[in-house]
Amino acid sequence: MCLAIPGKVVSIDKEKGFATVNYSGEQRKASTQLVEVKPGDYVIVQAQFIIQKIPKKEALEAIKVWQENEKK
Amino acid sequence: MAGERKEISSETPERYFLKYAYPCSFVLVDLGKITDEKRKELEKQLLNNEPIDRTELENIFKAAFKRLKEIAKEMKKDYWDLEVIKEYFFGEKHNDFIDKQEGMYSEFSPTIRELCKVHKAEVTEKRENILTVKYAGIARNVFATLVPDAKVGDKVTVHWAFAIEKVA
Repeated sequence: MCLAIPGKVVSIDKEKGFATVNYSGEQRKASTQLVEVKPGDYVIVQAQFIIQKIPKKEALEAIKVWQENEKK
Repeated sequence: MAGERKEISSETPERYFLKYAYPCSFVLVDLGKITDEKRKELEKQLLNNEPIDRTELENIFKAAFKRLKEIAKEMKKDYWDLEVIKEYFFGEKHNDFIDKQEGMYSEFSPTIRELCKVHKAEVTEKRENILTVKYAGIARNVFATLVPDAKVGDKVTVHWAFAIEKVA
């Protein structure tokens, strides 16, 4: 899933070490091995790993910019 | 330096470039610019020390080469000269381009731009393939894939979620 777009963590499987991340309706699994997250966090994913948390305000703005570009 | 032949490092310019560009190859797949098969092919060449094709790198990482050519001109060297590529990634040139928000960087948010930058960091912890690194007062976990022999106390450069090379 696109790295340049933040996703929102919807749930976490602690035992298996992954999170389900939502990208405007599409859900992807990503490992939580690098970064500890909780549901509601906005994150950047690379190579199926969550690599960085991103502040909510910034995330929402980035998602908006992305969606506007998609329409172009 | 003219006439002086220094071959201390066995590093080829192609490998050195691809090490730093490797994290971006995932971004390009996500942006639909290259296929994941192509990314894996580059990864295989990089990790197995196989020959890497210059033309292919130039076609895939167009924006980087545009900037490398500008730097090469300033340095009066060929843009495939290892010194030019080092100046780009390791000197502050690469980060300057990001701070100026050129090209696609303008569409990236601050957190993503920080990931795009090359940071010099210290390894503070190691477990299997993961290094905890510290730079600018923050601690992050990154992959040791490209520097499998990195140990606690080493200085490394970091690009996206990867440690790229050990540095002095």
